[in-house]
Amino acid sequence: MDDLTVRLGVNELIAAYVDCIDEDRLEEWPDFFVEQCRYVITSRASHEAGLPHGVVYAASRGMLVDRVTALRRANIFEPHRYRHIVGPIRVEQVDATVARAHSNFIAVRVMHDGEMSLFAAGRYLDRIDMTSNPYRFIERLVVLDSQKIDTLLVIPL
Amino acid sequence: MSEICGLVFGSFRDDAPDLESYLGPQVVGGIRRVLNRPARILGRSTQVLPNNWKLYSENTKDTYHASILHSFLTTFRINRLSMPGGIYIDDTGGNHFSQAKLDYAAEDADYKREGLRSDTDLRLEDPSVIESVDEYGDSVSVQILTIFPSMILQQIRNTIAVRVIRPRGVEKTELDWIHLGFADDDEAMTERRLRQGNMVGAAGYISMEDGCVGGFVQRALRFNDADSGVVMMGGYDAASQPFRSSEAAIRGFWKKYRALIGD
Repeated sequence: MDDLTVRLGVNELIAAYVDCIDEDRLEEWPDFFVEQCRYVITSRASHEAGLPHGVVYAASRGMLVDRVTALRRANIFEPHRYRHIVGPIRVEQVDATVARAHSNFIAVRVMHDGEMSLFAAGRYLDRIDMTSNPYRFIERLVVLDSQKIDTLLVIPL
Repeated sequence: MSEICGLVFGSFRDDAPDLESYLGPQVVGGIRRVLNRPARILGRSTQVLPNNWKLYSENTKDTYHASILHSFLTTFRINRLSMPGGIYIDDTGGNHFSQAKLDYAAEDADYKREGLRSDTDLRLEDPSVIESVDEYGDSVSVQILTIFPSMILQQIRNTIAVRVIRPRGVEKTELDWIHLGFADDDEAMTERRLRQGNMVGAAGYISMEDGCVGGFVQRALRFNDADSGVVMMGGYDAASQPFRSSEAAIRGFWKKYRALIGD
């Protein structure tokens, strides 16, 4: 596929993804993934050591839907939102249907009382399915620079 | 320095008792039950808690809060509250473990049957997050074991973890999670542990709430007389018992703490 088309498609996917989370349209979040997907949040240390555990470990779109249902209906936490800032995206075509993308991000956490803090920084390592429009994630690995998570992580990164 | 089942303990005390005497025979049995074969580290993470370390210690000793606070299991209609179990406390009160049992086969059958007929109840889209096997062959689905002052050994279904409590000031604690599997796990068992891992840790359906509730208590305490507040639900001793609805293990923690610190 022509390089510019791929770059625009990947860029739109990644921009729409953080918009969905930051604007609290979490019910739409699983739709950014193919059915047989992987979404894992891990740390740089675990990732580099080859350890498979994820703070969040989803191996299907259904597991992402359950995350949202639990957040809305079950879990107890103080209301808050994120503001994601994603840096420039590096894109590489694997074959005619799959692209690989790397990007850096930070997420600011804004509590219900207005208190803001830098909640997370890290890298998105993505494998992206280009057969649909818009594109969708086959795998999104969220590699956090720090192993520490303040209080809890309930809204996806 | 001393070691049991791969867990290494140390003390700066010259007159420290030997490790197994310190733990007590029942708690030693609880450790040997879970870490009964060579372990393997699956991952590590740290949850920063906005509260004093003793509030987290109380949390791990408290058997009441699980069914009140952690609504994930009840919301998705997974667990029964009447699970049999018990609490085992060492003579000093500082170390303990609690157990709950589950009929694994009945749960599996129930979930599949109910999944078919119910469309109004909340159901898991992908129940693999709770699909567990009775790997110890004793029906114990949850065992939380605490070692005074700062360690927890956890078995929640097939998630095995060591948690280490690190005080970082009066109002801050770091909780280090070391997620474990075993050297003889096959690929399916590792995948099972990773999926169930969504229940524990900083983003765990269950454990995330333990990350914030200590902060709620700490903030509320400021409004009590002389910065202290106690809610006691009854009883004075700290002895083992064949049921879980009890504060005995929390009383045990404070007995040990006061014996060391003085009133």
